[in-house]
Amino acid sequence: MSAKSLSKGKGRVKKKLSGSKSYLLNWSKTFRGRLTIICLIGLCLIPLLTQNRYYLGIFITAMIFSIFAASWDFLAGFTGQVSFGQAIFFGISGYITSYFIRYLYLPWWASLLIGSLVGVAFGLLIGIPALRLKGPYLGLATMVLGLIMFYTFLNVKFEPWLGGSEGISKIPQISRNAVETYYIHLIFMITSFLILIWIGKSKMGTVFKSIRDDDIGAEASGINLTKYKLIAFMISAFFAGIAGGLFAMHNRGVNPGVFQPLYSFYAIVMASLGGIATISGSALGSYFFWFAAELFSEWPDVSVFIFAIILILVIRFAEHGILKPVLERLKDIWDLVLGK
Amino acid sequence: MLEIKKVYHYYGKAKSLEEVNLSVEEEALDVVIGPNGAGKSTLLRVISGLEEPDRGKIIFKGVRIDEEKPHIIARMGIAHCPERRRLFYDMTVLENLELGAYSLKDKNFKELLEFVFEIFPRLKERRKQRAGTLSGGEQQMLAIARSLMSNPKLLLMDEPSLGLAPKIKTSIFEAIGKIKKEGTTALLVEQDAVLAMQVGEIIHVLEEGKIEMRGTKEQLEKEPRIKKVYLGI
Ligand SMILES: Nc1ncnc2c1ncn2[C@@H]1O[C@H](COP(=O)(O)OP(=O)(O)OP(=O)(O)O)[C@@H](O)[C@H]1O
Ligand SMILES: [Mg+2]
Repeated sequence: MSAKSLSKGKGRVKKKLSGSKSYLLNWSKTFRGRLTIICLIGLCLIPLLTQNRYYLGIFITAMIFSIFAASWDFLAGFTGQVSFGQAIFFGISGYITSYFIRYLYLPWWASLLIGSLVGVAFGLLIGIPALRLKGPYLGLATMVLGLIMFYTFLNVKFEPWLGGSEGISKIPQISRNAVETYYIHLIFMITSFLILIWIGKSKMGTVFKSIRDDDIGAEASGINLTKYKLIAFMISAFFAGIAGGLFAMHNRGVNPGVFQPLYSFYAIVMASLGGIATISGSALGSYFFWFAAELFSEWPDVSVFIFAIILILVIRFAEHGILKPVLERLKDIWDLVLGK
Repeated sequence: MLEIKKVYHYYGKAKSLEEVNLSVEEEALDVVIGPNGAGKSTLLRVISGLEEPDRGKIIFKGVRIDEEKPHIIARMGIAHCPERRRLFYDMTVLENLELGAYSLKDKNFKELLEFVFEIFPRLKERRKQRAGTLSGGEQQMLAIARSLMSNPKLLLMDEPSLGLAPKIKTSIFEAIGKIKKEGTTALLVEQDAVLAMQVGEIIHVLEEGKIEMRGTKEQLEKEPRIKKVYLGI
């Protein structure tokens, strides 16, 4: 019996693998798939064009924020839990990662892992009030919690422990070699995206989406709301934590500023720019945002202004993201060129 | 199979259920009728755990369930098909059905799916369609089908025919008849008293949170008040 069921199990695994294989094959034929592949190849080739630390740094920042925005998109887009306090996980992991590197001399990857896991613990903590709050109330509550973190870390009284306004500085970078650093971040981004997309397509992802669509209905179908909401918060916090730790290392330090609501809004704007509940849209939004910021870096006031306008546009018009309609135009042109 | 004993329920201070006693026998098809705001939906919500009763006991197959969470009650075999066909609108028909089968332990998912598609062939044709784009009648079929996917022992249905054309109404009730033949017990809320009396074995009359009367079609038809208020004769 066991042998039989074993072979049956194997058959199922095989079927599943070949299923995902043909899925990938089909996906690579679609416009979306091709565009993704082209972008990925482009990203892999960038260091051949420039090894300049500053230019690569822009790309690295964009990759870090892609992960951060995707973590928000996962929570809001898939599970319907709109958090305005995503910076909490980002910031706490930044601090913990920095602390372990700077004072306990742990390797960067171990520190990053610990930082992200502490982020997960905070995800659990923040997730608990989320069980009772919905919609705007959840948004407000998470924003207030973020502000509490900000002022706690800024507070002079706690300076001996938390570092005050200076935070933690003089953290070594991941690697002295800018190109190597670039590729490490690229791997982090791709892996994070693959995991998040895979969870979204898994059975658990369907459960998350059902909670988003109708939480009472989900509960009545036998889904344990408490459990899955908390899991969603923890997964989201983990990836926000990865982003926060990478960001701290990239900036060679961390200060209370990372807890500002501004960072939570960054995540929201980038994810919304690219289209909510898509995960990959977050990368699009992040690159768009950082390139625009770079263009206007001479005039910081202008960039704040543009940021505000984007925020308003996103809130007003972009249920499906602003960049997506642009992409669809692009697709028409693409089809035209190929003569379809 | 299901016993409700002296159940009280309040929304804040407003009383919605008052000393409700009700029992449903194995393989029965019982119907609750009553005017708007009588507490019919509340009664179903209290059974499926979406609301907690303030007093009283609810016993399902000998086990007290009145303090359990909804997902536990669902796993025990009570499926609630709520009012106004709540669905997972952004998901496909098939995904909705998969979620309905979420608490299914044994793996006869495929058989159940076939059974459900047999009852509602329309859903089979549209299994890849987003639930939100189905017509009203189709959405109602999906709502019922989704609750059937958990292979429930007791099916609670809240106004399955609300807002549907007479023809679809009939087909929904035919489906309910089939489900009953398969051995599922059902407790149904229905506004349309004539229809309710046709399908129900026992009819419970709920008014202002209290069970005012109950009986078979023949018994109730003799009651002058029922005749006047519900049947309009
Ligand atoms: N969530 C709620 N909060 C406060 N009061 C509620 C709530 N839900 C229902 N009520 C009130 O409880 C009473 C019973 O409502 P219920 O929905 O059970 O009635 P019903 O018999 O299903 O009516 P209908 O036939 O219109 O569906 C009504 O007076 C209603 O206003
Ligand atoms: Mg009702």
